[in-house]
Parts: sequence; structure tokens; C-alpha cells
Amino acid sequence: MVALPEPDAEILAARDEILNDLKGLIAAPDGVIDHPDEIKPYETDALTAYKQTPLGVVLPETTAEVAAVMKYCHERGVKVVARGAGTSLAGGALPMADAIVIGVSKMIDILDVDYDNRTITLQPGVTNLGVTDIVSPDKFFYAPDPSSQLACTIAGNIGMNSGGAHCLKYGVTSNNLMGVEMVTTTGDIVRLGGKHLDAGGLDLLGLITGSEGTLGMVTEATLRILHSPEGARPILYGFETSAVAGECVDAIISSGIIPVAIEFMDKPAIHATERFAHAGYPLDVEALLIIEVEGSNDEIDTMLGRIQKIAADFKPAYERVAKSAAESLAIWKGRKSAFGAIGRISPDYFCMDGTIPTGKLPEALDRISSICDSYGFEVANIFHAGDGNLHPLILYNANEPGETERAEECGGDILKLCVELGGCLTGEHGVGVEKRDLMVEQFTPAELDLQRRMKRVFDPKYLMNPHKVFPLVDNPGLAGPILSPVQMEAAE
Amino acid sequence: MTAAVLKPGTVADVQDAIRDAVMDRVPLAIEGGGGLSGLGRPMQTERTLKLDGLTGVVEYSPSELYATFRAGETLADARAALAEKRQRLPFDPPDLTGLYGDAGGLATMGGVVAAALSGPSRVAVGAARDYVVGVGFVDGQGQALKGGGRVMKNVTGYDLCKLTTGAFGTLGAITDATFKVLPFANSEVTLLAHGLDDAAAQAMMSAAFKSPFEPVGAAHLPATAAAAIGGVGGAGAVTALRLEGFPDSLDYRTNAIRSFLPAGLELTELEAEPSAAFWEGVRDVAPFQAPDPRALWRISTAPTQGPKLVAEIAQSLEVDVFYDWAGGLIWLAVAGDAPNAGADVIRPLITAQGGHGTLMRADQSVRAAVEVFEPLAAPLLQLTQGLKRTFDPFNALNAGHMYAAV
Repeated sequence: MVALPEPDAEILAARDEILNDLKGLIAAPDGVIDHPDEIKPYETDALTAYKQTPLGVVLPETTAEVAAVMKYCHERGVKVVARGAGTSLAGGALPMADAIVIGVSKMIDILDVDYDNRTITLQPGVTNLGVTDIVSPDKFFYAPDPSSQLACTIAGNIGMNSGGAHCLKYGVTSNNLMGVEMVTTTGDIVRLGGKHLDAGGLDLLGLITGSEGTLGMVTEATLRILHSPEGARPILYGFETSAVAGECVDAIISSGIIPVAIEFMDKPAIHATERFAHAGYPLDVEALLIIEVEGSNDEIDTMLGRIQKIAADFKPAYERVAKSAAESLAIWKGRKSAFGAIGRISPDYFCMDGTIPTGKLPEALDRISSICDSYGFEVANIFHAGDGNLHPLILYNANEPGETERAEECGGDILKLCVELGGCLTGEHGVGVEKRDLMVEQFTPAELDLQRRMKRVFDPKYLMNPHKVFPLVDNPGLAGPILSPVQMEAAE
Repeated sequence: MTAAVLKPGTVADVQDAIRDAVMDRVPLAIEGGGGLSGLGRPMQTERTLKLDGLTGVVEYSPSELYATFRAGETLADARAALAEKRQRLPFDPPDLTGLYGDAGGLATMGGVVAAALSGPSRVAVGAARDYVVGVGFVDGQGQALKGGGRVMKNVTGYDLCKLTTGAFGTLGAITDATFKVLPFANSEVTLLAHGLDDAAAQAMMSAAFKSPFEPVGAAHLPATAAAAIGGVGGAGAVTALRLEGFPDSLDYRTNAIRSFLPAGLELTELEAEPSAAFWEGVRDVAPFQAPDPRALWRISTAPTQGPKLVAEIAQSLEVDVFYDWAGGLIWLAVAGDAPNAGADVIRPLITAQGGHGTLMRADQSVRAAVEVFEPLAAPLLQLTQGLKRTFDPFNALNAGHMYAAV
């Protein structure tokens, strides 16, 4: 298990005073939660193996309230954990015993919808799917589509730079976020970007996106919305080996076709989802591909025809074209219920989130399989094949003593493999606490030191999510920055 | 004062040069091809670190859609290397060196990153910042560091790729960069409307993006700018929409999109070749290239606000403009006699309207007297200066090139 820092005894002892002070900063009578029963839902997120009871929970409604709370916490030295909907699979919203949680669940106003400039501006407690729901009557949509989109908030999406199945064509959150209003750790209110493109000055908007609540708190967001395509339909393929499936994906992309999504499932994933969702997936293949294209009906037919022609060279064992919206839904039904399906066949699972260069897929799958064998775990793999984002699901049973720890270790080995193959530790879930201690696999000490010093520019007292993203060991935390040889020489 | 020019051939050379600069307390000006040395706040430096010797393709995997170039690789060579595999940089970076003199053609891949150069397709597919997936750089203490990697989905740690993109070498000397690349479009067509005023043109461009037909470029050139690019037939203003795809799909979209555009437009088409040539002119800012001596601004605002902003500026200054990014990107040339290149008029209007402006070209004395980059609110300037100190604590790299102490 990843270690959490010792709570600050002085802060714990001052809990009543702190919560009382916070109540003075929030207008709504129910804006500060201090009763243990009501705090309970905030103890954990979707990484349920970790739980911490925070000092209390603050639910502001306005930017001014967030600024007042941040300023107070900075001056009083209280740690802050920002929280969206708590759907993080990496422990991104995991509290600390000596921290307050600032939740965005009451910040749900839509401030502006502007089709001429293709933007929507809103408070960040709005859910991801909620954005599309607002603009879909006018045939617009918000592109990033994480699996948790029904529940997860824009605040959390910005914090973790969330992706989704369709980011092959449309990009991830950072590519669709045009501006924010943000409260700094000292309580200043700043604006980055807006309805115009790109930043004046350094790209601080790019920096805070995916910063996992360690640099500030977003209180308003301007998002790019796009006109919906006329239609979209997938084609489903089964292949006898994952290597051939990978080659087929390469050939399609090389031809100049960029599908909107290319999803891959291996045999265990196919079997688990088929049993659960009855999507009609072939059970005798090693690899399944769902390839979706967009356009008018004729364009889709032509494009799928091109894909079929290319795929034929790779002798697929199974092929099914969706000819209608209903058939499309049936094909996607299995994939979209995959995590739920795995949950049915295994008491617990860890959803890993590495990225690999796409050409390494066969090697990655082989070695993941050996790694899991060596720990005695079953594994199912789901893969965003176009962009290399791999989700191995490690099946385990938390009720067996020691098994959670071993499953975590197994996951760590898989992520180290992703780095070794030229990829990275996390493609879209974030580092959180889950992968914090693995950061040394991807970054040198100098690179980690630089990132920590960057945090201190935004958060000089190291109060925002200080237990996440960077290993606690060597964390300069509240000490001065470590001087490099050049600095020491120059200082002499 | 004789200016020394250091030309490193390896990353280790870059590290040595920066360590020496720190020890000698002689700050460095960092250059690629040197073609953008007229951009930014003027620097008082005796040493130039010129990275145009760091050439070459480090790694290119067409099937995995990424390519790594050393910083001094020219944009032209990088494009050619990708074109061999029928691939491209989707954000279509401009070569802006033609704005400053000579024949242009000096743009390097390091410069594309440092200056965050994005072309007309930016409005549809994203900017340089969205396609830089990895960056290698040497910080102000001579440490060779990296951000990102070679995969396009990566949320591991802070996004140093985005931060170094557009930092104009103030945070580190970029030594290599990895880009997400994509295949060429199968074909393209440009739909041209003739004779529209700025406001009507902007309305047409917004209308095009409110359709499902995915234009990948939208620009409006008033008569003077249109004449400078040429090849668009006849005199007068042109408003251009670019579409890409397979030929059958292009035929369909080029027709279907018309029903979304305002009625009564006089529309013509540019086939693939003239279309590509036209957009190259827009991309590389052909209407205002040297020897045009006028001060030049690049302004980003909400597309619908573009014509209004220009009209307000034109009340006080004599200007020539053209619009890219559906009206949201304004290239604005100011007649020579305007004091401070018009900054006293232009800056407050940008602030009032929302957006940012860069004084891309002006006499050195003007660039020393007024802010070249969009002035920052106090807390943001503080964060910016803090980041500068983090990356470059001894102010060794492009000191004061963007802002005071940045």
C-alpha cells in the first residue's frame, strides 16, 4: 500500500476552530459538512482500497467563497483536497486526515452558451455528460468522453486531463479546454484563456490541466463545443492474434483514414463482457476491434467499405458492420459495459492505465500475461488502439489477506513495463496516490525535483494534495529546494 | 562589443555552454535558424547559443504516428521527411521568418515549439501545444531534462510540453521535440466567397462551423491582402473555407455545407493544388512579408469579436488586416507613423474585448518601449516569474525576452 503522511497533530486538535472559521466564509447553512456520518461519502473515491476521513468538507457555491476558503487555508496552514465527483481511479480525490475537502457539487451554473464561437462557459461542478446534454438539442456536443462521464465533473476532468474512447479524433480535455477562472492557493482569482485560442504569455492553462489539484482550484471553465457529425457507425472485427489486429490498425491509419475510435479487447475481456452484455461478440477469437467512423450515411458506407478492403488483407476471423443505429448500439454495448462485466466475474479489480507506442501491443500483451501469471492473477485487457492507451484489469479478491498488496505490486510491474516499452505510467487516469511512488520509473531525480519546485511556485506552503503525484521520499515539502552543483558553485 | 556565437553539436555541448554562461555571468540569447530574432523584447546579450547545428530526425515511426526531431532541423526538412511517408504536422506550422527579411525559410523545429507556431488548421485540429508530445531541453543550470514522451496520451506529472511550447526559450534551450503526426488528407477543396465585408465574412465562417461538415480552415482577406496572396480570381475581398477528405466525401461536403451558409453568396471553388497554395500564403502571412516595413500585430480574440475589434482600432490607426481562424486570428499591419506601433490604442481595446496580442514586428526601440507580449495580471506575472526562476534561476536563458525578468 502507498504510504500516507502523518497528519499534523496541531491541525487535528484545532478541528472545531477551523471548521467554525470556514462556516463563517460560506453563505449556505449546509455549506460546511462536519458530522461524521455526512463526511463518510468523502472518505474515498473510485480507488476504494484507500480511505481517509478528512477534517471536514466545504461546498462553496461561488468563486468568491472558494477564494475566501483558499486564502484562509493558506494563512492557517490547512491542507486542501479538491474534489469533483470522486470517480478517480487513481485516488485523485483521496482526502487526508488533516485536510479539508473542497467539493464542487454546488457549483453547477451554466454561464454562457455561444454557438457562433463554439464555446460553453460553466461552473466546474457540471458533469461531463451534462455539458453535452445542454447543447445536444442544437446538435452540438462536448468531445472528451471518459467512461465515468455520467458522474464525473468538468472540474475533475480538468484536474486529471481526462480522455475517453473518442480522443483519437477529438483529443483529450486539454485539447478542448479554452479557458478557466482559477483561484490560486493564496486566494487570488485569475483568468487563463477564454473564448479566444491559445494563451498570452506562458501556457499556464496547459500546465494546470492535469495538475491533479496540486496547483490551484478551477472555479469556471470555457470549453470547446463542436457540431455533431451527421452520424457514426462502427464495424466489429475478430482476429486470431493480437499482433494481426495491431497490424490491421496500422494499415487503416496509414491509408489516411482516422476513425473516431478504435477499441481493442483481448479474449478474457471479450468473454467477460459477452457473458454480461450479450453483445454477440465472437468467443473464438484472441482479439476484437471496434472501429467507428463518422459522416453522412453514404460517407460512412464508403469509409467502412475502405476499411473492409484493408482489413481483408489481414484475414479477420469475424466481421460485422453496423447498418443501423440499433446495430451500432449493440456493438458498443459490450465495450461500454466491460468494466461492469469484469466486476461480475471477479470480486475486485484494479484498472491500470498505461500508454505504450501502438506497435508494442503484441509484446506488451505477452509480457503482461506473464507478469500476471507470475502473481497468479487473471488479467483482461482493454486498449484504445489508436492512441496506445492500455487498460489491463487485474482480477483479485480483497478479502484474501495480502492479495490487494500483491495486486498493486503486479500493477506496478505492468506500468514499469509500459515505461520500458517507451510509454508512460498513465494515459488518462492520472497519478494520484496510486502511481505516486512509481514516478521514479519515468522521471530522473532532477526532473522530479523540477516539478516539485514548480508546485512550490503555485503552492509555496505545499498544502494542495501534498500526498499525491510525487513520491513522499525526497519530497522537499517544506524544506528549501535542493541546490544543484551549478547553484552551489555559483553561490560560493 | 563582439558577440560570440556558440554552435553546439550535441546536447552535452548545450549543457556546457549554459553552465559556462552561468559561471561567467554572461546571459545567452538562444536561436534556431535566427529567422525570428526580430521577435520579442530586445535582449542585451554578448553570447548567442545557436542551435541550428542540432539537425536530424531522431526517430520516426509512421505507423505509430510520432516523429522526433532535433531542434535545429529545419521545418522544410522535417516536412519533407514526413511527406515521404505521406504524413504531416497536423497543426501546419507557418514559417514566419519571411516577415523579418531575406527569403525566409529559416524556421526550425525548435523554433516551432519555442514560438508555438500554428497555422490555419489550428482552428479545427489544434495548435502546436496540442501536437508536441515530448520535449527535451536544457534548463538554466545546464541540466538535460525531458517532458512528455512519444505517446499521445500521457498525463504523468506536469505537462512540460505545453509549458515549454510558446515559452520563447526563456525556460530552457530546446534540444529535441516529439510530435504527433497524421497522414495527409486525401484531397482538398477551398470554397471562396467574394466581396464580403469583414462582419459578413465572419458570420459566414461561424456558420460553416455550425455545420457537421468539418471545415479545416476559415480565413477572410480584405481586398489588399487578397491581392497580395493572388490566385483567388478577380479583385476584391475573399472569404475562404477549406475542406479535406476523400474525393467522394469532399464533393458531398462542399455542396452540403452551402445550405448552412448565408443566402445570396457568390461562391467559387479552388481545386486541390491552388487551394494548397492559397493556404500556404495565409499560413506564412504572405500579405505582410518583408520588405513590408510596417509594424505587425498578431491578435487572438473570440472569432465573432474580430471585425469589431479591427473596426475600433481602425478609428484611430491606419491599418491593413486579414483574418484567419474563422475571424479569431487577426494579422494587423500599422502604418509607419503611429507612435509605439499603435500599442497605446491596440492594447486597451484587446483588454476590453478579451484576447491577447503580440507585437510581431517593430523597430527595436519600440519593442524595448512597449510590451511585446500580452501584459499579464499581477498574480499571473508573479507565477510566470516564479516559473522562470525555477527553470532558470540565474537568468541565463533569453533573459527578459518575454517580460521583465522572464
